[in-house]
Amino acid sequence: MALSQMAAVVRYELLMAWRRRALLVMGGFFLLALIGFTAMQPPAPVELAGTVQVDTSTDPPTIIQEYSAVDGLTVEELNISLNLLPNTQLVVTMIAVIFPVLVAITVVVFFAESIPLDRQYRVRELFDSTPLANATYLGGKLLGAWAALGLTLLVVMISFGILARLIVGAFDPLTYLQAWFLAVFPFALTCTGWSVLAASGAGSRRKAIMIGLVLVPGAMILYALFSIQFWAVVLDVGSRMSADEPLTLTALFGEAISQSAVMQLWFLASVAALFLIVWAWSRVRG
Amino acid sequence: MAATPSPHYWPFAWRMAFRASSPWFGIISGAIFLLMMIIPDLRGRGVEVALPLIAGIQAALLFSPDDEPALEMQLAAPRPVSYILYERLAAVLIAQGIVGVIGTILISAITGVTPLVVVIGWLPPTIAAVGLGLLGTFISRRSSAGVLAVILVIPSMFLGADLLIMRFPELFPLHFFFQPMFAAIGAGYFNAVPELLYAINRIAITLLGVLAMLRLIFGMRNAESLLGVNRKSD
Repeated sequence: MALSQMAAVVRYELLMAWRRRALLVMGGFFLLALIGFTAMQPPAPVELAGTVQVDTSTDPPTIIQEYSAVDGLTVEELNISLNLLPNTQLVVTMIAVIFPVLVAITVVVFFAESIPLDRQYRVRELFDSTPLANATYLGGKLLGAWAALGLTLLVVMISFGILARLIVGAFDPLTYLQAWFLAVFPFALTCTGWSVLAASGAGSRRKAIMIGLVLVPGAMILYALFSIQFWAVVLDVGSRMSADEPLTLTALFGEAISQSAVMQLWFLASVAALFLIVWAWSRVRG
Repeated sequence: MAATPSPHYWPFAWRMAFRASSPWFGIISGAIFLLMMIIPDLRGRGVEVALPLIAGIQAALLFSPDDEPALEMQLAAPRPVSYILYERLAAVLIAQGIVGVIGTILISAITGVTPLVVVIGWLPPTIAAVGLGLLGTFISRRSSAGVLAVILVIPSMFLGADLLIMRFPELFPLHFFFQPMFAAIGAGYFNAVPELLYAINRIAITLLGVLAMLRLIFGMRNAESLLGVNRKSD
């Protein structure tokens, strides 16, 4: 019973977010910002030259075959493999380091009104007259906001992945997905959770936005903690690089992303704690 | 029935306007300004940092059609509905203007820069931010969108627009926080005097804000669209 009620709240929360065009605006903005930042980066490294076999019997001479400096690789393949590290570094920096700033600022303001709107439009009284538990309502609202954000980020992830491949060139898709699923998604869910729950006591959209604004510095502190951890690991791995331990994508970003993911679990735990506080408060208040 | 003679002016509800415009935002601007005065590098730009951001947020919360109580009744009343905007906007400008004037005097006294130069530094971006906040809220009908537009555009401009014009110098008129130093650097690139480039930028930024406000004022004349006809609302 409670689950089907929660599913209904989630469904309508998604529907309202779609009707308010919040998802379109937010997704469009995220995508544009990511493309803009990527386009502002310096151009990719100059391609390496290889050796060529030229047929001089023809007029003009023609290139028969191109060789790279590494056996078994064509010049094109060699350039891709050499560009893979800086390209992946650029994309991961964009996703795991720069993008969360935008997410932090945007979601805490955007999702703050989720529960207060019900009060502003006098729907809360209707909810209170139904056999809907506080925890179910609160959980449904939170999951609804998470579902809306998750879908938006998913679309942005796929679209930006395709566009980044065209703008920057080849990058490691596994590291790209890791950056999204272990860094961006948990961080965005934490910020959204804070926003929905902290503003749940507000009586109007205006007050909810004010609470969202107050949360912005908190979200930035969260971001700073996450970012410092990420770079500390990247720098540590980079400093250990030697001939015996060559720099690989997995070594460079894999460790940083997984360690950040552990930290993100603690962030999400803070949402669970806030949920309990808000739920208890709503029970006390009646 | 005889038509009601319309007066040449309508009364302003100042007290309500000040209450609705949250004048304590002025205190936040003042606090940020004082904080900036502690940082040596930003001492001369304290008002420029504080005012556009806070005034823009305050303006974004001024008039959201979906959240305005009894908008239909206000539209049916003889006093034009745009008066709500005028009086609230005036309240914002007074609250923030006081901070701006005090800040300008303090900066001039401490750094020795002419007051006019300080005012030219903060007034255009403040007008642009106010216009952006107002229009963002009006078009989306939600104050959160206006607030977001301001808190994303203003800090990005302050922190990143220098990089943007280094890459795309032609975009210099859109830099909210364009500095005379950049005008001097750009003079060689554009083959023009620095003062002209700086003036173009300041005028363009001010115009952006004024145009946004005009769009809003004209938009408020259309009662149907103000009520959100043919729009799926929350």
